Amino acid sequence: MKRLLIALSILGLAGVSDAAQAVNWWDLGNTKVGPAETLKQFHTYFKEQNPNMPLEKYALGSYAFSPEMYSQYQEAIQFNPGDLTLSQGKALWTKAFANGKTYASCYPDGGKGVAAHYPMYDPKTHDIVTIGTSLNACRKANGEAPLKYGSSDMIALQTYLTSLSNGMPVDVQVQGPGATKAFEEGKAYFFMKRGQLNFSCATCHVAYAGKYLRAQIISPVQGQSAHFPTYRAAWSAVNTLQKRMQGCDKKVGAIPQPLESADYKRLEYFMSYLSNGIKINVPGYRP
Amino acid sequence: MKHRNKQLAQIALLIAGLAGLTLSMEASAADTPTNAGNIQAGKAIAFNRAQGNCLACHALPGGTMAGNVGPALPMKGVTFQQMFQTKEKLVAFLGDPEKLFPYANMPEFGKNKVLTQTQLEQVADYLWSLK
Ligand code: HEC
Ligand code: HEC
Repeated sequence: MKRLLIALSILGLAGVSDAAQAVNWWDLGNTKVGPAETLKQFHTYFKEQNPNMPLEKYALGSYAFSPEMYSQYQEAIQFNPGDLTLSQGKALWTKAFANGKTYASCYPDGGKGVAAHYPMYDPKTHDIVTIGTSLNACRKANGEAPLKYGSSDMIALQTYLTSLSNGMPVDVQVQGPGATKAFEEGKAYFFMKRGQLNFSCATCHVAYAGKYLRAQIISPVQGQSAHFPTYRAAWSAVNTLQKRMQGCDKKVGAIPQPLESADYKRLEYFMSYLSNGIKINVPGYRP
Repeated sequence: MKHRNKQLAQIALLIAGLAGLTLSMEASAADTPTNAGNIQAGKAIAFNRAQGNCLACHALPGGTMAGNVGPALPMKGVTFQQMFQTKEKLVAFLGDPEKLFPYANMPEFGKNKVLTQTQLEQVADYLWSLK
């Protein structure tokens, strides 16, 4: 009799633990497998989740999961309010420094196609260089004071420089032990549970991508970086990927990290690598 | 006999190691009389975005704009009574879901002080009343 009851109670809970077992997304957080294998695993995971969704469609984020939202999106981007920021960025980009040079002098090809390879690892400083920090490095090299991260000038410049890679697939490189370490640190941040809600980025953007959180469809991490900086109706402005990280960290009751902090640079490095192969489209548009 | 079976079931749960939850001696949920007031308060907490916000992830009867990250509640074919046996266990689950299901991606409402013990009990009273 007792035996039977044990069996029954295990069965009773099986429905629950079944759901738990399907959540092998957790294995994607292994920080020992290296970047190439990580990318392969993520592609496989999302392919299993959405067998009919081609890689390039991940550029659409949550719009990929709702035809109605997608048609609203298509209407909205006819006049993307973010284009205003883009032209502000262009004006700043072409304005000469006191020494007569411009930002274009700091980048190969005048900045064309450069952003597709950012963030990148700098073996000299053992640090991650983002589009944002590269812009301030350029200012410094030309005797100008740095811009504040999150300021409208900085955002406009980030937007313009990234847009010079529009249509090109993200192509972030992770090579050598230093770069790999930074990449895995970004991955660890992505998978670490935090905040009052005790959620990790991965909980939402890997395990529950495509599901509804209240009325919002959660986007998969794959593809997220490719449309940032993006215009967001909720912001009524264009802002950066790192600004969005702060928003999601706050949402779970965690303390957000400063813009261009070591944590966020590494997180951006990791997330951007996961978008490799997906075309850049900046400024994006999101609700 | 019915009562005895229930006891056995509880023991079985413990043996199976699935309980993991302390059969707390405080048993405060049992002492609180379940009344319409508690159920109503629990429902309000579950629906309130700034409190339980259960609707963010679970459909609940009468709730609008519910998410589907978690299963619709009450779960199809399983009552809360069948699933948790006692209300104390439900309260404990809401307080620290991972303790019962290691992979449960649900906020730890008690452990992380999102809700107070009293609020957790009210939410449990509310869930317990759902058919
Ligand atoms: C509790 C769930 C949750 C957690 C945890 C979470 N997010 Fe989000 N995130 C959302 C929702 C909901 C949205 C809005 C819908 C969407 O995905 O576009 C969003 C949006 C985003 C976007 C914008 C996507 C786009 O297409 O514009 C990015 C980028 C993002 N999150 C990154 C992160 C990062 C990085 C973390 C961890 C630091 C994180 N999120 C943690 C729920 C979450
Ligand atoms: C941000 C997401 C989220 C929120 C908020 C949330 N839950 Fe859950 N809940 C889940 C998930 C996911 C599961 C499934 C756990 C599993 O099977 O691994 C779950 C499971 C449950 C279960 C047990 C059913 C099962 O499958 O294990 C109950 C009961 C429950 N939740 C009640 C609540 C109540 C009550 C609230 C609000 C006070 C709440 N939840 C808030 C995500 C959430």
